[in-house]
Amino acid sequence: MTAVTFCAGSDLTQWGFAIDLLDDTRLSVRLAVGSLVADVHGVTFPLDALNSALASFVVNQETPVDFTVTLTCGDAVAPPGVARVVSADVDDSARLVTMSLSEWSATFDLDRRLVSAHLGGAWATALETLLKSAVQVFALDARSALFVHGASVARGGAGYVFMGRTGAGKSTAALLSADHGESTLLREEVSCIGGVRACGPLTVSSLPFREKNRRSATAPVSFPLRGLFWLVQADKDSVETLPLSEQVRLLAAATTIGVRDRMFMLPALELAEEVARRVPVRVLKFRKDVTFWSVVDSGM
Amino acid sequence: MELGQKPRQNPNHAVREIDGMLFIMNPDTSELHQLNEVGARVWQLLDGHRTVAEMAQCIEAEFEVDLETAESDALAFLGEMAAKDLIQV
Repeated sequence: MTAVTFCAGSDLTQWGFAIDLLDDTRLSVRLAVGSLVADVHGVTFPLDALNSALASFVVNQETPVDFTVTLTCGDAVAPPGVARVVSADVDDSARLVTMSLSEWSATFDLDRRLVSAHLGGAWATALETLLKSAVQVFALDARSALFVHGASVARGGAGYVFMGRTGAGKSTAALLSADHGESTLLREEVSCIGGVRACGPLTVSSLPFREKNRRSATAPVSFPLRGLFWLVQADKDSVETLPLSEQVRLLAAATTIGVRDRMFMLPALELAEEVARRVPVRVLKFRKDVTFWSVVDSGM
Repeated sequence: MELGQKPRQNPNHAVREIDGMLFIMNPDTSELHQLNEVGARVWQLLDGHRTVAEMAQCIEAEFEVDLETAESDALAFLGEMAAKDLIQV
């Protein structure tokens, strides 16, 4: 068997995670890219059932690894439903986070950058939600990227993120944009603002995690972030500026924080401030049609 | 809340000053609270050793407000903070 190596780049534009499947003798099983089946002491792990986007994000083995996931799999149980957090504990001094969901349980060692996880069954969806949590935990701790509830679009070589309350029109704005003109829908539900620690511009990128509607980009792409908008439906399109404190409040409200603990909320606030200082959050009042782009373009 | 009590900051919350405003995030509720300059100064005084009366005296000295107003405002403000679990009494 040949190896598949998933490595997470520090700017989160390259994706992947080093996975070592362990049995009792801690044998590392490495798997080929493509149609992948790993037989770990009788537990068959159908990795070809993974979201194809995950596979398309695989990088070569020389790419530096930011964190490593070590997995064990239990006996196959009933197919998982919606992943549900059962418990989450944080040890501030040891910098360990322990999470238990209906599909898996894991310990995240923030200093050693290790994730030790047990999947309740050999289910690709469980692995995907584990990896999603791991990325958000480590990115927040490293202050390298901010994950927000919002849709993101690439247009004219630049990225735009649309946030807002439920029903504000985030998906509508993104889908309207993608349907008209040279636009790419990057994400529809959770978007990633990266490059926070890099010297260049902030970025918005695709992610290797599937979304409910499966319309998001499935190849690793990244764009400089040009616009951050808080959507409000209105009769007339307009863009309004806000004081910095308001921008931070909106960004923080939109941030996904997987673990409700001070250890993660503080970096979320720091990141929200850093992002807002570099790309202002503006209120976009729009009529739920694509004409808002003329207002956005004129305001940029 | 009473003038003789010695409230203190809830250490479980994330706090950050941004652009002159103090942001306090409650991890249990994910609520984000925003304090203005006076509120931020009161927050700084919440060390568990000062009484509410002593805090009011600081506010009186620093913000040009009479003591009676400072005390009633402090009691109301801290009562609200306690109700939101931002402070411990």
